[in-house]
Amino acid sequence: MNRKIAKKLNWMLRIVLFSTVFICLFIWLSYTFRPSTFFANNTSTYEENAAQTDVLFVGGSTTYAYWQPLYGFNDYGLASYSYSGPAMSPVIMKDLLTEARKSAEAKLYVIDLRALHLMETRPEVYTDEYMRVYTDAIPYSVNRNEMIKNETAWKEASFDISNYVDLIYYHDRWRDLNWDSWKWSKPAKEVDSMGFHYLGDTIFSAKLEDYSGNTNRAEISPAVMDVLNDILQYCKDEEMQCLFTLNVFECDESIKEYYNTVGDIVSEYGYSFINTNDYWQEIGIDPEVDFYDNNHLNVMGALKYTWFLGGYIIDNYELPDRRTDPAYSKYYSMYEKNVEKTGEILELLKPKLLEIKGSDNDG
Amino acid sequence: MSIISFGFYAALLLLIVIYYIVPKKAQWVVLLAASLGFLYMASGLAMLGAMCAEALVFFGGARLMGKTRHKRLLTSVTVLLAFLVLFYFKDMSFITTLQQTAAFITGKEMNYSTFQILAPLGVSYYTLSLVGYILDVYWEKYQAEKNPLRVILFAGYFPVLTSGPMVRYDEMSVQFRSPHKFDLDKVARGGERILLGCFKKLVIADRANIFIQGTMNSEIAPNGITQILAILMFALRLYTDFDGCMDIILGVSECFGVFLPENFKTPFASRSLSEFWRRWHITMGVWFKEYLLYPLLKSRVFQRINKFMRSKFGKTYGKKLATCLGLSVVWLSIGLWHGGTAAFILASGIIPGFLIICGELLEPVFKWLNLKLRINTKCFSFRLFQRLRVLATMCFAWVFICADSVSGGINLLRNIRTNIFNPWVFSDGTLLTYGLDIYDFGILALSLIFLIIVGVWHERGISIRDSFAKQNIVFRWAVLFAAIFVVVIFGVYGPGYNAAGFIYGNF
Repeated sequence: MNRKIAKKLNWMLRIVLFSTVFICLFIWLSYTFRPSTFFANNTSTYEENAAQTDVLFVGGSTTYAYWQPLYGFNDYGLASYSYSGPAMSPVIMKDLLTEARKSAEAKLYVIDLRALHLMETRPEVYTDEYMRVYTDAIPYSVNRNEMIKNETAWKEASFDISNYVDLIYYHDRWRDLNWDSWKWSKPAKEVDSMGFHYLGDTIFSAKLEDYSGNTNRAEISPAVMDVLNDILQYCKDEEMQCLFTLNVFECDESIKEYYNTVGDIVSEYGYSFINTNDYWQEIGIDPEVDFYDNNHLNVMGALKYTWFLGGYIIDNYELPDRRTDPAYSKYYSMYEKNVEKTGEILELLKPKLLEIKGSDNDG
Repeated sequence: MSIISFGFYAALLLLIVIYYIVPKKAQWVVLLAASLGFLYMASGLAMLGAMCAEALVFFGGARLMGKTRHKRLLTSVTVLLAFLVLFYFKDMSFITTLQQTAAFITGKEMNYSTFQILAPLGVSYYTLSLVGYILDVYWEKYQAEKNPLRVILFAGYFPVLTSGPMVRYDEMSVQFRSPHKFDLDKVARGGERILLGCFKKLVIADRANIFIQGTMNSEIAPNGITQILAILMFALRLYTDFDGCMDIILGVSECFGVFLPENFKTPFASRSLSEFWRRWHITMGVWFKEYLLYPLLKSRVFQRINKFMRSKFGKTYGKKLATCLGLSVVWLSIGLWHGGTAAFILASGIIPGFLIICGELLEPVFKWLNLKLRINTKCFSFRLFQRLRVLATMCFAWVFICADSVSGGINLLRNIRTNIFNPWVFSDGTLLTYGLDIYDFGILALSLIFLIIVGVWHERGISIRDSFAKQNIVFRWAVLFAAIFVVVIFGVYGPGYNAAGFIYGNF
C-alpha cells in the first residue's frame, strides 16, 4: 500500500514540477518574443514613477499627444503621468485602470472619452492589432485575460487562444530576435516625457467652430452606453476621484450633442466632465497652426492645452504642489530635457508656421 | 476539430483524467462518448448518424450470420452496400474521370458531371475496417460482437477517424475490453509521440508546403531544378504529414493504453517498390492483401485463370501472371480508395501497380543483367542506388497528385525538361522567392538530417523511444522542453499562415 501511495506521490510531484518549469519557460519565452509596443514604450517608466504620480491621465492618442506631464509639473506642481496609447478602446479602459492601479493609487484620474464616439461611428478602428498594443505590454494575469475577454466579447469575435498566449501569436518572430532580446531590460528612453509623445513637425490647418452654446442631446447606442456605465461604475465602486474629458479636435455639432449626453451620464455618477472643444478659444488654440491633423494637436497646441487643463485641475481639485518636494527634484532635470526637445520640434515647425502666418508671426 | 488544435489537446487532457477516474469496466464507454462527440464536432449530427447507421448495419449483418444459411449472400450484400456508400461519398468524381477518358478516346466533347458531396470524417477508414470485421466473422475467425455499441466504438474510435490506421476488430476489441490502469510513464510516452507527430507536421510538412504552393502558384513557371526540388519537397511533405499524423494518432491512443498498429516503417529505406508499399501505409496494404488480394486469388474465377495461364506460359510465369492480374485489381482499388479522380488513380494505383508488376515479371531479367554486368548488389552504393530509385519512382507518381490533375502533372514533367541544368538557382536567390527564406531552408535541412538519423537507427533495430526512456529525468526533461519549444516556435501555424489540414484526412 505504501508503495502505491509513494508511486502516486512521485507522479504528482513530477506532474507539478514539469508543469511549473514548463509554465515558467513559456512565460519567459512569451515575454521575449513579444514585440515592443507603443504603449509599452510610452509607459516604460510608469512603474518607477507610479508611487510619485498624483494625477494619472488615461486615454488614447489625444492624451499622450496633448498633456505634457513635465510642463504640468513645472507650471502647476502636478506630478502626473500619461498612461495612454493609440486607439485605446473604452472597452478595456477599466482593465487598464486596474493594471495601472496595481503599481500605485493616484489622487486623480483624468480619463479622456474621445474614443466613445469613435466606437460608435468607426468601430473598425479597434482592430486586433490595437488590442495587442495593450495586451502585449501587460504581464500575464487575470486582469489581462479579462481585458482580452471584454474586447473580444465586444467585437463578437470567436475565442482565439493566440490572443491570450503571446508565444503562439508571435512565435514567428524568432527571425527578429538578437542577443539583446534575451536580456531582461526595458526600452531605453532618450528623453523621459512621463508618457507624453512628441508628434512630428507637421502643421495642419483645421476648422474649429464654437458649439459651446449647443445644448441638444444626441442618442448613444445601448452598447456604448453599457461601456460608459461600466467605466463610471468601476470608478465609483473603487472610490476613485476622476475627471472625464473630451480633448480638442476638429468636430461637428453632432459630436457636440453626443458628448452633451455623455456629460449627463458622467454627472449622474457624481463626476465632472469637461468638453475642451467648448473652450478652444479660451485655451488659445489657433486652428490654423496648432493642429497635427484633424484629430490631434501638434506640440504648440499641446503646450496651450496643458496650460489650460493644468489650471482647470488645480482650480477644481485639491492636489499637492510637488515643486517644493525634494523627492521630485529629478522632475526638474526631466523638464529641462523636455523643454529642449520641445524646442527642437518648434524649430522644425517654425518655417511652416512662417509660411502660413507670414513673417509677422513670432510663433 | 483538428488533432493539432489547442481545443483538441485541452479536451484530450480532460478525457485522460476522466478515463482513468471512471471504473475500468466503463472506460470503453468514455472512449465511445468521446468518439461520438469528436465525430459530431468534426462532421455534424447527420454524418455521426451515417457512421452509426453503417456500424449498426454491419453489426446486424454479423449477428445474422449465425442465424442464416445464406451467409455468403448476406456478407456480399452488406459489403456491396458499404462500398456503394463509400463510392457515393468519395468516388463520384470517378464518373467524371470516366467521362473525360471517353472524351479523350472518342475525341468528342462532353458535358462533365461535377459532384460536391460532403463525406463523414473517416468514412474511407471505418468502412474498410467494418468490411474487414464482417469478413472475419464470415470466415469464422471470431464470433460476432453482441453489443452494438462496441461495434460503433470500433468503427468510430476517434483517433483513427482522421487518417487511420485501418484496424482489425479482434485486436481492438481485446484492448477496449482490457482494464487500463493509469501509469504516468505510459501516458508520457504517448505524449512524446504526439510531440514528435506535431514536429513532423507543423515544422516540416507545413513548411515544405509553403515552397510547394509557391512554385505551383507561381505566375512564371519555375525552372527545371526548382520544379524537381518542389516534387522532392512534396515527397517530404507527404511523408511527414502522414507519418506525423500517425504519430499523433498513435500517441493519443497510447495515452489511453490502446495501442494501434504502426502505419509507417521508414519507407524511404526501401530498396524496391514492393518493399516501399510494405513500409508505407502498412495497414492499408495489409487490408487490401488480406481482404481483397488473397480472397481474389483463392476464388474459383482466379483459380481457373491461374490454370489457364499456367497452361499457356508455364508453371512459374503462369502463376506470376495470374498473381499480377490480381495485383492489378488491388492497385486499381487502392487508387479508387484514394479518390475517384484520374490523378489519384494514376499516382496511387496504376503507376505503382504497373511498376511492381513489371518488377515481379522482370525479376529474372534483372538478376541476369546484374550477373552479366558484374554488379555487386550487396554493397552500400547499390543499396543507395536502389533507395534513390524508389524515391525517384514515387516522386514521379506523386507528380500527378502534386499538380492535382493528370494534365497538370504532364505539364509539370514537360516544364522540368526546360532549362533543367540551372544549378545556380541554389546560390542566386531564386529559391527564396517561393515563400521560404534561408532560415526555413535551414530548418528543413536540419529536420531532414534528424529524420535520416532516426531512420538509420530504426533500421539498425535501435528503439529511440526505449533508449530515451532509460535516460535520467533531467536529460529527458531538457530534451522534451527543447522539443516542445521547437514545435511552438518553428511550427508553421497562426496568423499569416493558411492552416493546412492533414493530407490523408481527405480520405
